[in-house]
Amino acid sequence: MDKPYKNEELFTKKLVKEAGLSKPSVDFTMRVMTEVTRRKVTQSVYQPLISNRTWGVLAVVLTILLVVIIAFPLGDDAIFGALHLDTYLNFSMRPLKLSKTVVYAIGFTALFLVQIPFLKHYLGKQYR
Amino acid sequence: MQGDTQAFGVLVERYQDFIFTVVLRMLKIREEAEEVAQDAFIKAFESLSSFRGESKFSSWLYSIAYRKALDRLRKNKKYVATELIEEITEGNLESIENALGYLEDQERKQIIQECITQLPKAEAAIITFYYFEDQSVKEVAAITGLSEDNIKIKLYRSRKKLFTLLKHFVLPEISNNNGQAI
Repeated sequence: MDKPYKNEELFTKKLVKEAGLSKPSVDFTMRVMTEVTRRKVTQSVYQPLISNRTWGVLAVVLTILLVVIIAFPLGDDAIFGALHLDTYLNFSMRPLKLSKTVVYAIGFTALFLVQIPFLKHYLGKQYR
Repeated sequence: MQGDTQAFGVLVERYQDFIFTVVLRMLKIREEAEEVAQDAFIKAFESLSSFRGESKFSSWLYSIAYRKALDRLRKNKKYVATELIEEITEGNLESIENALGYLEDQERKQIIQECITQLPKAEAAIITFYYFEDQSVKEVAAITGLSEDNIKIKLYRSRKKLFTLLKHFVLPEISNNNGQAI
């Protein structure tokens, strides 16, 4: 600091130091900590809508279904053949014909759905 | 440190007096200052994870408190600044110092505190950061978001204002309005 201000500087410092600090009320810390703890409790941890366990169960069920379908194709000699399901489920499937527009639409929707996890991860990182 | 409530309690203990003092000097009202200081600590706790250690922890905490106090002032809009500055000469400075010397410690402390509180909001905070906490101009600039030149000007002005206020307190008979005592 420049010389002309030196006395002023020193005097101000002395004054401000002498004024010291004011104290908040005695229970200040306690009130802050109570509020902090309360907020910590109410701040629920993020829970995914479908838990890992549910995903596991779903995966197992789907795998079993897939295996059953591949290993025992629906036919006369198949496992379901013995049940004579075809008498109840009497329908013939017509070959599926899709226009180009629908194929594109499905393609783009798939692309969009693939992006979601990436976007979610990216945004989550920004706000963390 | 994140989420560690107990460690945060220690920090609250350590910084509460200083934070409260700065906020009180800005807001001038005890009850409001307590509320704002409390808000500042809670805000700090909630955003602990965003503290990147680029600045000192204390500076980071002070800037939260400073901004909280400014927000409150903006909401209130009832604050009237003291805009009175007189030319204070070296002689004046000495007589102020002498007059203060005759006072009892407790009384002197109270008068100084009152004068600091009468300073405009930002200046009262800035001189507390600079003269009490020995923060550098650069650090004070970072806390308040003002430029370093602006801080220097504000320090200069707040010194003058503080001397003027003190002079009126301890040497009312020689204030410039009624002529200098010979």
